[in-house]
Amino acid sequence: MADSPEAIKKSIKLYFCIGMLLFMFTVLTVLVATVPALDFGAHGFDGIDAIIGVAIASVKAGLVAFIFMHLNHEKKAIYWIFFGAIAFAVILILLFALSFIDPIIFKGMMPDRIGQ
Amino acid sequence: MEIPYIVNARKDTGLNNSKIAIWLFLASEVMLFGGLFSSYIFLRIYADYPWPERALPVLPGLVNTFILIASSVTVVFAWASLKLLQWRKFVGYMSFTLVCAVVFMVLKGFEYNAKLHHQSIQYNDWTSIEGHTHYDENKKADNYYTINATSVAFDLGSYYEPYLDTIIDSIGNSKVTAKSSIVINDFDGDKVMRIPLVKQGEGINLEGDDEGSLRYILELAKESFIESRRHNEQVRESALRKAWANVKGNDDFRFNAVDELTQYDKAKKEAATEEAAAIVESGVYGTIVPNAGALEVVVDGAEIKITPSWGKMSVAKQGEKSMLKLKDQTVIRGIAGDSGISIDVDAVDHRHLVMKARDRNYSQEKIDEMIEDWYKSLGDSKGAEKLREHWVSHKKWRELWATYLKDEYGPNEDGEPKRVPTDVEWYRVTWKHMVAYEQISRDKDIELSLDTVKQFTPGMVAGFVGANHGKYNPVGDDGKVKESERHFPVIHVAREDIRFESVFSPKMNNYYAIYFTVTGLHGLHVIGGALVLGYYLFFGYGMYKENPEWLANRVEVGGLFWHFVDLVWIFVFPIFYLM
Repeated sequence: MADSPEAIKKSIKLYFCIGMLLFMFTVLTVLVATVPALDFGAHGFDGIDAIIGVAIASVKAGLVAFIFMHLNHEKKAIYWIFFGAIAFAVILILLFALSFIDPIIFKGMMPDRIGQ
Repeated sequence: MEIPYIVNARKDTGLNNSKIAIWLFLASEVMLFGGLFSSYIFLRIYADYPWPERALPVLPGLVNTFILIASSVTVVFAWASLKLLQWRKFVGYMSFTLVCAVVFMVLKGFEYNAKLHHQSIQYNDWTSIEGHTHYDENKKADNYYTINATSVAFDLGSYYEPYLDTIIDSIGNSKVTAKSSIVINDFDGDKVMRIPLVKQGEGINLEGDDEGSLRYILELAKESFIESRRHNEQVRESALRKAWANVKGNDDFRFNAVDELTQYDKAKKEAATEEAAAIVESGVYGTIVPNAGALEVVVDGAEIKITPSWGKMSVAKQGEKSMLKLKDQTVIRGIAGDSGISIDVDAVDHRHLVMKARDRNYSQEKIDEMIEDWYKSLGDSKGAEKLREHWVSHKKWRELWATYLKDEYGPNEDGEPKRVPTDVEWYRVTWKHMVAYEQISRDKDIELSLDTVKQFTPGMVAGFVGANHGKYNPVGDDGKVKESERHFPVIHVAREDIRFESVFSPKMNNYYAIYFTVTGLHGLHVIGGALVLGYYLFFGYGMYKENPEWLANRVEVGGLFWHFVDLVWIFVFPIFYLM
């Protein structure tokens, strides 16, 4: 942790730069979503746009976590606590993918739109 | 009691306790929001309706992102100021952070408000129209169940005052007659008497609350009902106690729980029958008394208008025999009146219809025909005429747009155009388009082209909270909107044509349910974080004087939470607003 006054003064500059970077990434997210020239994949929203959007968000989240929340120089215990939770959250999010592997469940779960 | 290790680190972890605590809490928050994002993905993948893609106004979301990032920077500045023992700077940065939190919540409030005042109606053929409920001359939203009542039955146990007021006001200043006699219970010590309250064919005053008036009768009946219920509970309880005592006193059942219960059941029945029989004979306290039921009065076809959320109508088709049951059990019988909804339309969406038709493998010609049929079914009102004009303009625009995309991006390997308009562009007439089409149609010199549509389409700022009817529907000198100058067509939808209607609340669909859940929960985090940071700002000076390092640690921990709130929003913004 930057505890000496000199180190803190130095890191203030860094915080400011990271803030600016976050602003820029935010603008980039909106541009990618709204400007046709920056629209990757097919016209309109599709999987590629989703990946790009989440990727930019992840970079931003990483900057906040590592710089603002000092995860770049933390103690071991905190890495275990926080990244452990993130790992479980990711597993949770990916769990639904299992339903695609099972053809019977998947077929049954797709709503029968006809006749409704 | 002194809490250990709040300033200095513990030897084993190398951290102070508050920091370990906040990170454990943040880990649980990761799981909470992770679960919600997971359910979002699940709901979206399995949605059996067109997902409201990029349906939220981008500008407030974008501004809120800037606000949260800025506040994240200032909260870390505030912490650094404390470390450098600069109190004044700390006050400045922390105040800015709090202002950011307030602005964030105000913007959120505008956004929610716009959602909750925006109506959607889905027709039976799955076409949706969106807009605002049209306000009638009494400045009330024109969305009612109307019934020309022939009789009203008031439940004698549970009438609800506002419903009663509305019904009495609607019937007007007249007398009604009772359809049948009402007898209620009167309690005199341990004696129960049945006294007649209303005789069949007797006139009942609707006005006032004197003897013989409707309110008087209902009030008496309600009291009697409550008394009767209390009395009946006592009778049942004493019968059960007696039965239980009998079973408990029997040694045969003591060690067999199943037998005991069976015997208890049997004894209970016997005791109740015995007791009731004894009491009916003597006519004293102990009998289970009957309820008075409902007071049904004959009404002479008065028109009663009820807000749909107050109850359910059995048949809403105008002119048909119907029954309206309110939530307080009042039942109004009669002939259904005009029970439709008037709506100022600011968007028409055919995507759900198209989705259903594609599921049934309908041809494109058939789908187009179905859409045209819907426009024909709207009738010949001014609003319907305008909607049809907008649809003609939209078809022209989408053809131009498709040609543009084809020419601009060329074909792919199969010779098909690389880029084609999305379903949203093809089948949804948005309010922005409506504004543009209307402007173009008003000026005979302007031809509809991609450029002119773009020119008259409201921009990001105008689209802040959706269609501004006040601006686009100019008000005349008399304070009313001139019908001829109305931008957004007014449509009256008959109730029987409606499959589903709702404001843009969680009831609307899963998208709005998860949107309100996630952003609402995030908003609560903003409020919670602001309260904690505000506490350090307004009540931290004493601690700063005493032990500045301790306050710095506290601000760091509060700041960690604040950064996490920012971190969640970093994902919420693209996922909910841009995808």
